Formats: sequence, C-alpha cells, structure tokens
Amino acid sequence: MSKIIGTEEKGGVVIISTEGYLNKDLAIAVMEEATKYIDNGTTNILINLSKSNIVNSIGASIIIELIEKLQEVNGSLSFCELPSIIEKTFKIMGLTKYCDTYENQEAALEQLT
Amino acid sequence: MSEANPTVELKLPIIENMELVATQTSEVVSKHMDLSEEKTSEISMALIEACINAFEHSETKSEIYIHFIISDERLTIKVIDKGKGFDTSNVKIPNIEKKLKSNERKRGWGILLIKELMDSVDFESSTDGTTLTMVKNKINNE
Amino acid sequence: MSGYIGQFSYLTKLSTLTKKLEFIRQQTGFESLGVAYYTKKTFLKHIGGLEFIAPQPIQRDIGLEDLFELSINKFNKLGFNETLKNNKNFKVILKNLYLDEEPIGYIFLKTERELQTNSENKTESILYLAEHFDGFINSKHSEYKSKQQSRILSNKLLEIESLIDLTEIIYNQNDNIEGLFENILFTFISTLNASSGMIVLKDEKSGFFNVISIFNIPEQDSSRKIIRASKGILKELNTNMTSVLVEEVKKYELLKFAEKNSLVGPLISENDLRGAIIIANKESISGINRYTKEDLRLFDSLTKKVSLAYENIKLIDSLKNSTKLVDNIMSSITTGIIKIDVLGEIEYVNDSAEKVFGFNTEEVLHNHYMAIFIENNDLISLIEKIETDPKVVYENNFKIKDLNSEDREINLTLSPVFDENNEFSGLVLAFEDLSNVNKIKSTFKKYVSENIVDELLNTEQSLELGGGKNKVCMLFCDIRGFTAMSERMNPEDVVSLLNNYFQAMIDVVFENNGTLDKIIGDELMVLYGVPIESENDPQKAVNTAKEMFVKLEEFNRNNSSKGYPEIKVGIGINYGEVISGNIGSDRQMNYTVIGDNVNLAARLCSHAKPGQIVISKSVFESLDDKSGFKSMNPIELKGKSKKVQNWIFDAKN
Repeated sequence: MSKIIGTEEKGGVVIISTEGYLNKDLAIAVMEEATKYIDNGTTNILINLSKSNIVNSIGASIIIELIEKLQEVNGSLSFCELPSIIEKTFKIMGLTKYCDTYENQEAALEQLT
Repeated sequence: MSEANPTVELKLPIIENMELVATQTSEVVSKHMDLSEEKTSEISMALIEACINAFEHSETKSEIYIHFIISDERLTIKVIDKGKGFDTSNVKIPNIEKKLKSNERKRGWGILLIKELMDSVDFESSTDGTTLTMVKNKINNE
Repeated sequence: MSGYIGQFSYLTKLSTLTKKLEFIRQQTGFESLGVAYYTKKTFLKHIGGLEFIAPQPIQRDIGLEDLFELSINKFNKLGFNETLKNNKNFKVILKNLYLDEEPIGYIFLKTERELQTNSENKTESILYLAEHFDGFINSKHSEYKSKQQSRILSNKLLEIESLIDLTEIIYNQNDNIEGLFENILFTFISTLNASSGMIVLKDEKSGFFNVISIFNIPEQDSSRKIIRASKGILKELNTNMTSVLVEEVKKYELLKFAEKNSLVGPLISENDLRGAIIIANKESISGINRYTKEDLRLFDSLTKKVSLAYENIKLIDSLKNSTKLVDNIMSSITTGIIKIDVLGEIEYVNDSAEKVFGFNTEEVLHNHYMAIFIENNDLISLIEKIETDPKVVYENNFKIKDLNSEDREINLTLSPVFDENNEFSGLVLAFEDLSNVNKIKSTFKKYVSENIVDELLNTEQSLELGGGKNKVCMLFCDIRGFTAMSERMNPEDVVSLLNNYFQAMIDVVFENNGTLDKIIGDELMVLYGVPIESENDPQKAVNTAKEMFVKLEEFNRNNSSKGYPEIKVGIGINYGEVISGNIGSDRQMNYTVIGDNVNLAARLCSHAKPGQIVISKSVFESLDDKSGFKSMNPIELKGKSKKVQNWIFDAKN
C-alpha cells in the first residue's frame, strides 16, 4: 500500500521519498532507512512527501522520534512538498517547530547543502 | 433527530488501514456537499484518527460503525464502537510523557487533532460502547 | 557524641591554629610540639585517662606530625589504653584537647631521653599548654559559630528579599507570561550569582517543553531541540519532583552550558511537571564556582514559590474560563435569576431575568431593588418581608410589570442567602415567565374547552397528537338554506351574523367539553372523545345539540329585532372508531379525524331537516336519556350497502 519510493544522497543530504498513507508501518520504514544513514554519519535528512497524501498521528509520532534521533547527533530533519493537511497535522502536534519545511526538493537542497 | 437528513452508514471491519475506506466515503460525501478541498481533507484526517481510536476501544469486537449525516448546514459524522467504553471525563489533551512510558506512543494525539480539525466534538461512552460525534459546518462560524 | 567529631574537622584547616602552634613552639622551645585532631573517620570513644603516652615504635610507624589526621586504624594501633611510663624508649606526652567538653584531639610533645628527669616538668608544660590550647580552640570555635549564624541570617535575609521580589513580579504580571518568566529568571540569577540560566515551560498541546526565557546561553539550537520530560534532566525532575544540584552536567543535553555544577528546579502543577528553572556558573571573584548545598536550599525555596505562583496563575486563568462557563450556563437556563446582596443592591442578573423584566444588566447592577422594581410594589413588599424574616417564599402566577410597563405573570421563588457565619447576606429571586405558557394556553383554549386544556396540562398523559385510533363522537351542525340567505345580505353583515352565531354555538360546545374540530363555511364540526376520552361522549354530544337549539332560538329572537334573518340548523351525530391525528403538511396542519364514521356523521347531518338532530345507532345505544328520539326508517346512503338506522329528535317539539 504505502512505501518508500526512493532514497538518494545529494551533497551530504539523504533524501527519502515516500508514497501513500504515512501510517505506522511506513513511518517505521522511514525511521529504519534513516537510521542506517545516521549510523554512518549522516546528519541531514530530507523527507519528500509529495506522493504521500495523508498521515496519521502514530506515523507522525514516529517521525518525532526520528527528529530526536537526529538532534542527538546535532543533525536535523527537513520536509519538502508537504501536502497541506499533513503540514496542518504536524503543526497541531507541534513538530513543525523542530524542522524546516521547503516548497520543493530543489529549494531544500539549496539550503541544506 | 430529523428524518429529513440523508445518512450514509458504513460498517467497517477492524483491520489495519481500513480507515482509508472511511476517508474515501467521507471525501465523496464532502464533495457532494460542496465542501472545500481544505475542509474535505480536514474531515478525512479527523476521521482517520477517530477510526484508529475506535479500533483501539473495540477490543474483541470486529467492526466499527460510521454514520455520515448530511444536512444543509453541516456534516455530522458519528464513529461508533461496541467496545467497553471509557471514562469520558478523563479525556485530556495528550500528556505524552506519561503515555510514552508504555509502547502506546500514539495515544492522546487523536483527540487533540479531531478537536482542532473539526468544529465540534462530543463523546458518549458506556459499557456498551463509545460514540464519537464530530461536526464540520458548511459555513465558518468564527 | 559521634555528631561532634566531624564538626570540628574544620579546625585542621584553620591557619590561625597553625600560626599559634608556631608561636608557642618558638616561645617554649618545644620544637616537637604538635596537635592532632580526630576526624570523622576516627574512633570516638573517650580513651582512658586524661594523659597517656604512646610507646615510641608506634609513633614512628605513624609518623606523628603537626596537625596530622589520625585514622581509626592508626588510632587502634596506637593502643592508647595503655600508658607506658618509665619506658626507656623515646616517649611522647599527649594531652587530650576538649571543645564543649568533647575530646577533639590531642596535643603532644616528644620527650628527650636525656631529659627524663625533666619529664615531670614536661608533663606540667604539656598540661599547661593543653589548657591554653583548649581555650584557644574554644574561642576560635565560638567565632566560627557566630560567623555561621550570621551567614545563615544573611542567607535568610537574601531569601526573604528574593521572595519579596518574586512576589512583586508575580503580582504585577499581566498576562505576559514571557515577560514574567524573564523577570523571574533575572531574580534567580542575581540572587544566586549565576552567570547563565534558562526557564522552560511545557506546551499544553504538544507536550514538548519550550524555552521561555534564557540568559547568557549561546542560542545554538537550544530553542529547536525537542525537550521532553521522558528523557534527560527533565526525566530526573519528573521522577523526583524536587530541586537538585547536578554535578555531572556533561551528562545532560540541557546542562551543556554549565561549567561546574548546576541548580535545576521543577515547576509543578497538579502533580505534573510543567516547567523547569535551570541556572549554573556561580560567579565569584575567583571565577566560576560550584554551587553549595546552601545555594540549593535557597534555590529550592525560590523555585517552590514560582511553582506555586504559576499554579495559581493557571488556576486564575481556568477560573476565568470557568466563570465564562458559569456565565454560559446561567445564560442558557430559562429561569430568571436575580441576586440581591445584603444592602439590597442587585448583585447578579442572568439573561432570562433580563428578558422577563426587560432591563440591561449594566443598568441595574449595584442599584437598589426599590429603584429597579419601582413599578412592582408587591414585589418590593415581598423582598422587604424576607429581609426582615428570612425564609423561602413561593408565589404562583405573580403579576409583575416589566420595564415597558407591560403586564407579565411569573412563578416566583424568593430564597434568603446566608454566609458562612449563618448571617443573612442577601436573597435570590428565581422565576419562570408564564407569559408563554399563558399564550399557548389561551391559543389552545380557542380550540379546546378550557377544562380540557387544564386537564391536559395537569395530567401526565402525553398528548398523542400523532395518528391514533380512537372512539370518537362527531357532531356536524349545518345552517339550512344559508346560501340563499346570504345572497340577500351585505357581506359584512353575513360575516358579522355568522360570527355571532358561531360564538353562541361554540360557547355551548365548550360548556359540554366538546372539541372544536373545524368550521367550514357555515358548517361546524365538533368532536367528543379526543384529545381525552370521557365517560359518555355521545351523551355530551346530544346534550350539546339540544342546547344549541335552545340557544339558537334565543339568538334568532335577538336578531329578528335587528332585522337579521332567522338561522335554521340541522345536526347529525355519529359515534365510532376513527383515525385521529395532525393531518396536513408542515405548513398547514389540523388536528382532525378521518374515517367512515366521520363521513357517516356528515351524511346524517345533511339528512337532518331544520330543527332536527339525527343520530346513529351507536349514539342512540350509548344515551342515558333517550327521550325525544324517534326511530326512523333506515336511510340509504351513498357508498353504504346496508341502510343506516337512525333516530331523530325534533327540536321544534
């Protein structure tokens, strides 16, 4: 149903793109993928949600844990192409304070690299 | 209870991700009522959280029920589970720390989100089950 | 006794004692003079006598020097229980030193072998010196104690001053939480000589903690780190709920800015961690110092105060909200409520009260009731009565005049209010506006006789206005030849005549507890048995019919003098099961009956000649008084296969 459609690295930033419902399973998959890179020294992760249309609070809370994990290594999590309902949900849950959001991947990479 | 309001009734089996079936319905109903894209997605989000909550309350039961009541002024959605209910006076905005101690990391967010995304939220809970009623007005009141 | 030992260990650090010893050595020439103190780890029992001498080899092992510390092991090894006099070995003369009558150490002097003969002198010297030293130590100790006291006092003073500062800050806060906490942080920092600090507060919605004020900590991304009570220093605070002095500052993310140690205190509300105050880097002339236990004590009392104040602020906020809630509830109830205080001034008025009396809360608040109720003398008297004799008073259908001088009726309850000393402190008026009820009643009474209305309102019987099957007696009354009659008259006269006629007829109907169903043109339809069935509905119907003719005669007589034509009517009555209910649509609805039996009643009526009452079998059989009714030939009616039996009463007779 929903999955990670791609992971790439550009200029030290790891971009994880997802597709579909950002539920617990997908969030865990993202977390695991990100952890692999974090363990290898990556500190900047960008999640591209352009193909994900909706999230639930469980998925979002796992993303919060990812943010904390990155903060422990003085890194950061960013988002690009957030559908507005996902952005709204993140805002209500308070996590937008802790990460940056960008219009699109290019803008994000410009800032992060 | 006006008989005049058309109602769509869904019986949803408690299977992971089934809430998406409910959102499909809510999207169509929402468009039928000419609600904006923004309101439609807010309803979907709130409905997802309501379904997840209902799934949790249901324990051994195998389905939950969703009623979409369409009126001229608003869309009323009732999410009904037949679980054992809970003490509605205890529903607080999340206190994650206490909840995080267990593996239930998701608890509490649902209700906050529903309250923020919908115009009104009500709970009724008894030993026969819980009904969550949420309303999205067609016209903004504020 | 053990408590004493450690207390005096500071003496070892007193440089003045060392200097004193030096001085004495010089003066006496006793180069080997030394002083030893018991520390916490030493044996605390009072050893043997006042004087003792330790054997030389032991001394060598220990290496007795000036002001050295004796551990338990060494002490035991010394074996001071034994005194070895006349030991040919190298000797030491020791004398215990006392402070507040407790032994705290000893003064000792090595003796020279050669000067054995002078050991007596030496002993004397030692005793003398010991006494001198005792005195010296005692005075030093008093000095020390008084310094301690004054330090405690000045700390207390500092504490009080800071508390006063804090109190002022908190009382002066005006909804600016950020400004408030900035001031609070400054107070902490200046009171405790910190050079850096921050205060974090929990965001009610997300559950994360936000940095609300910060002082001299490099921003970095401290504002963007997720701070939760489930980890780090906040987890400790959350578990213990008390202020702590943290030494391992490097272990905690939030305390990374601290150089030595840090003071961290919890802000608690409703047994929940709502925030934390963190300060570190105590400044002094010599640079950054560690915080002490005393600092912790002061910090803790300040933190507790802030915690309490914050809880109060939130309580006040929620109280404001619940006052709003109370207001909301008050405004939604339909009972009017007016509270009058002990001086007779209006203290509180709710929305419904405003509506009934027609006044505005702002206008009446704090005004005396005599002024407000100036047109309501009865009400004023009632209130006065209660003021002198406080008890609860009920008044039903109490008449009042509102501010527009319009009459209203209310059901009123006046209750006196008492304070905690059981003294009269005012009264509460609670009332229901009956105007609406009265309106409904009067409207309803237009359709149904008053008695029925009252009966309905009094019984618990629910008005089954929905469809139902009932046994009903129907009376139809037609004016014979009306059309012809009306053609000869002015329209106004026709209407006027008709209305007067109906007035008269309906009076009769109501007197017999009939229900007026409808008036169609000149036809009158009356029901008996709905909405409430009674004992003998058919009898009532027949009585009505008979009385109608009587009344009609009178009516006609009065009218003929005015030149109006005579009205002639025919009446038909049937009794049987019908379907009753509100029939029509949302916009036009009537409570009426339908069914075959209704049609039959109408047909019987059209069959009646002027002055006749035609009744069916079912009516006839129910009558108590059958007199005057003659049985007639069964008539053939459209749509009925069987001919219908009927009885006729001729009013002309």
